[in-house]
Amino acid sequence: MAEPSRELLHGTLEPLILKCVAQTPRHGYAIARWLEDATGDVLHVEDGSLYPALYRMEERGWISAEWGTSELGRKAKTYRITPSGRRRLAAVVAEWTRFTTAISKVLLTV
Amino acid sequence: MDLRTRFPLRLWRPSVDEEVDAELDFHLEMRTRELMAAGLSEVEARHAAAARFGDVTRTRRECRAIGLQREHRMRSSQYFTELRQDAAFALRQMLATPAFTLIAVATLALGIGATTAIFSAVNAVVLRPLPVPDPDRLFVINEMWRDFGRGAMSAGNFVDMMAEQNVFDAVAASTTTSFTLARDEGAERIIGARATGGFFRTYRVNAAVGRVFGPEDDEPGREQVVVLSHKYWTRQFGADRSVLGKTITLDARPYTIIGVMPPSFDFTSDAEDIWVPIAFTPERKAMHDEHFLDVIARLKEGVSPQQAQQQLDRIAADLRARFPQDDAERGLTVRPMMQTFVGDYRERLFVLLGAVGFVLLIACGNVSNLLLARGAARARELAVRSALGAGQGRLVRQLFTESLVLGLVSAVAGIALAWALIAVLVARAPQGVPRLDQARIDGTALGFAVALAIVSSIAFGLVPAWRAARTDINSTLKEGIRGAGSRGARDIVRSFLIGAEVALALVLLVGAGLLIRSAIAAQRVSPGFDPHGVYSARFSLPEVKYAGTDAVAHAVQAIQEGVSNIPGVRAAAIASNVPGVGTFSNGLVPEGEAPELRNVRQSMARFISPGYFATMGIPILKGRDFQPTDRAGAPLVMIVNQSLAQRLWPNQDPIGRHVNGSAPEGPKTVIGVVPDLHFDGPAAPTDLEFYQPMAQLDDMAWGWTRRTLFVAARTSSDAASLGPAVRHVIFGLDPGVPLFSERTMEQRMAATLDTARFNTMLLVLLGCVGLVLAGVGIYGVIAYFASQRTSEIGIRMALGASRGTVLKLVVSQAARPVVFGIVVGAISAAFCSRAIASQLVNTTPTDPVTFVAVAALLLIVALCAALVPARRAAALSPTSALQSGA
Repeated sequence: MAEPSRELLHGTLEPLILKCVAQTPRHGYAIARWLEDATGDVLHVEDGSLYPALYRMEERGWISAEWGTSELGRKAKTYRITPSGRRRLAAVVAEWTRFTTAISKVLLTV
Repeated sequence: MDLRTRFPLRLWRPSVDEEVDAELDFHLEMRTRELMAAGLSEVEARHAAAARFGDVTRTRRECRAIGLQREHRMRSSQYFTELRQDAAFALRQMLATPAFTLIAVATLALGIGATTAIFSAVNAVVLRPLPVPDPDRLFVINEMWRDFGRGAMSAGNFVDMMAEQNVFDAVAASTTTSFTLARDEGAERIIGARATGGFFRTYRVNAAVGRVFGPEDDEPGREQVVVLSHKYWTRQFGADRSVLGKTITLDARPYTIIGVMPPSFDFTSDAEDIWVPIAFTPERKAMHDEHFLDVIARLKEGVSPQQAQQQLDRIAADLRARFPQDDAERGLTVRPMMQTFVGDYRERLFVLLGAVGFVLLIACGNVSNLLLARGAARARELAVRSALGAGQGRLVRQLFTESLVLGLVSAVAGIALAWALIAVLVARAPQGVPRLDQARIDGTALGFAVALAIVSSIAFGLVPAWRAARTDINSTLKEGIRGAGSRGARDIVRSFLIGAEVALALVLLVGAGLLIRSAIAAQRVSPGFDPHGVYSARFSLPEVKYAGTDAVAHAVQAIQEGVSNIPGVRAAAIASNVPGVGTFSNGLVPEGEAPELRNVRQSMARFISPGYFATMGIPILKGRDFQPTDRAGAPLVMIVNQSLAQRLWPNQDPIGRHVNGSAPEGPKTVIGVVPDLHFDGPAAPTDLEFYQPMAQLDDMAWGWTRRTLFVAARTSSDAASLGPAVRHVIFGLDPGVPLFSERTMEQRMAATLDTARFNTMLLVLLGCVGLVLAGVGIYGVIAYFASQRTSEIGIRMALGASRGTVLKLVVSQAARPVVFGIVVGAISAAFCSRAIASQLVNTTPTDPVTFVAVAALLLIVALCAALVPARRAAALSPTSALQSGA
């Protein structure tokens, strides 16, 4: 499978992260694991590309980070969604629905 | 909003780099463990984890960049949040201590307001460039003859200089003159200029409506076109565009209106109203005598003023060689137009700005003292803040913010004050300060006021903030307020502040004192004539109608007789100029010396009718007055003033001697001597002056007067009330003759002394403000010292010290800094007073009387200021002093 382009990654990675941390606060590794499990690793994301996305989203105020203690007793940075992140997620979901409905309508009609 | 997102807990907040490293390491570690759990060896697992991660270095770099950006943004937003908190706290504090706030704000507002007002005057008059393109390239070219200073240029020299120079893009000459404008309701006199064709091109300003005139109009026969100033167009024609092409009658000749200049070309409110081409005739162009042209030039790009001067020196040398008769010992000088335009107001205004700056500094000293006193009271609050974790830097920042808020609030009050002061300044200032009426609170003045507030905040807040931040927490919290800071060091700061205030006030008062002394000295000198009860006014005889000398002489005689016959008039005369009004100069050579330039005594010519000396109250010291028999055809005569007599024939009797020069040609016999006149006060050097009877003038001499003359009359009643009667006489003779500039001689004298008086008044005012502020400052500091020593005083009194001893103890604390301030101030004043040396009359800048008087005045004020708290301290009963101090 060809590696997804960066733009596509950007477009889909951020909503997925939002969806992930909206459920419960998670640290970076947990988010990576969730992405693999939840999407069946279809995105094939390099672990490394997750972090710049997280930092950018924190800078935009969609998620906030906090240093806490991980399940293994190590210091880990935990991300949680912010109210502004929730609004962003809702907007992306709505947009996605509209987009896929429209495309499906075309592609699925014979 | 979630509190945690607003104020994230920062128990462990590492640097961005550490944070990124820790987070990525954690990820790799977790992945490795997972892979190991799946059965890989540790080495294999690490390898696979890294492969799955991708480019670690790049990821790290990207994350760091984003993280740093975020941290930077948060830090500055935190800084502003703190600033806002500090500012809000400062405002609350100001409201909580209204007495302190009121005194501090009033003191600072006075300083900032006064300084801003003077600055806006300096800005309007001196700093703002002329509103033309590239004003820095505009220069004025003057002739310089011997040590007579810069003067006007002859047409011949101008034409030759223009032809030979190649350092200027454009050169133009003009001469300001008055025109008589014929109107239905009588003649009006307007100020305008005759200018060469390059005039507007040199300024690089075009007409706003219509066109300007150029070289093609500047030819005899084509020159009857006129360009209007914007203000004249608005005033006279209601800004009507249809005036283009219309004709107005100037000096009885028709001129076509071809253009109107933009409003920005009205440099000053009393600048020229119209411009017409000067149209030199070929004879005029060849004439190297008669120096009447103001020459302006626009320097070429890349040419320095020095290079221009060098070329002008070469041209001047050439002119001297070609025209030895007219140009011997004559040079050409170039200097920036702005210098000519502003004149000596630059110096005067900067002296005022310096003086007002001193007042501001004294105000800062007082506020600094207030803050120090309050800082002592706030030591506990600051110690608590410090104990709660505020660093020294944070405390200094808080205190500075408080100073800044105080400064800015004062600036707002100061700007309001400045606005009022400017109105007073413009209304009360002497006439003729260029562009002063344009002084206002504009963006520049606002910026200046704010900058002043910020700089002042630093000036008065620095020491208190530094002191407060250095406070030792432990001792303060243990000992309470009274143990705050090292009192000894603090006392030195306070003493230094009042010493400095006294020094500044002394410099101000010395300046004011010198000007007062000078004004008294000026008043003592007799002007040489009697200005009381003398009316004077100017009138112009249009040249077209009064061309020949006969016509002029006849009109002059008729006007003199008419005015003489007005009831109440004891004497009347016509003159080319009255005392104090500038005139034209002529070169005189005593008979017996060769008629060469080196023998010339440049003297001021005054043409008068019989009765002039009686009208002005000028005594004839020697010889006789002009008689009606000294008329055309009779032997030519003149009367000289003492200075000229002394210059022509030192220590000899001048009566009966002969002089050459001036018009008409031919030797003139000196028949009388009159005193030198001190019109501008004795400050101005006395001119060499001579008087000639109008009846003997020829065409050339009448040309010099431009047929604009003075009528003067001495009356036994109120001089100002003569106006209507004189106007009636002139209108009766010829309604086409305008009468203007009506003033009593006393008013004319007052006008020339106005500038000096205004400057003196301002400096005295500033000196008094400085004195009061310094007095208040001394009072505050001594009161503080006394209150700090209450218990000591109690002990001394309990041990038997008399009230006198206590008084001496408290007052002596003020003595040292005050005496120190007086000594430093006197030394500074000796330097600073040179700045006003040119404004002083018969007074040296280090006049000992002034220095001693001012020092004594300051000592007395300081003593009084110190005595108030000292008496209060001495009046305490020992018991209450000890109780309050315990």
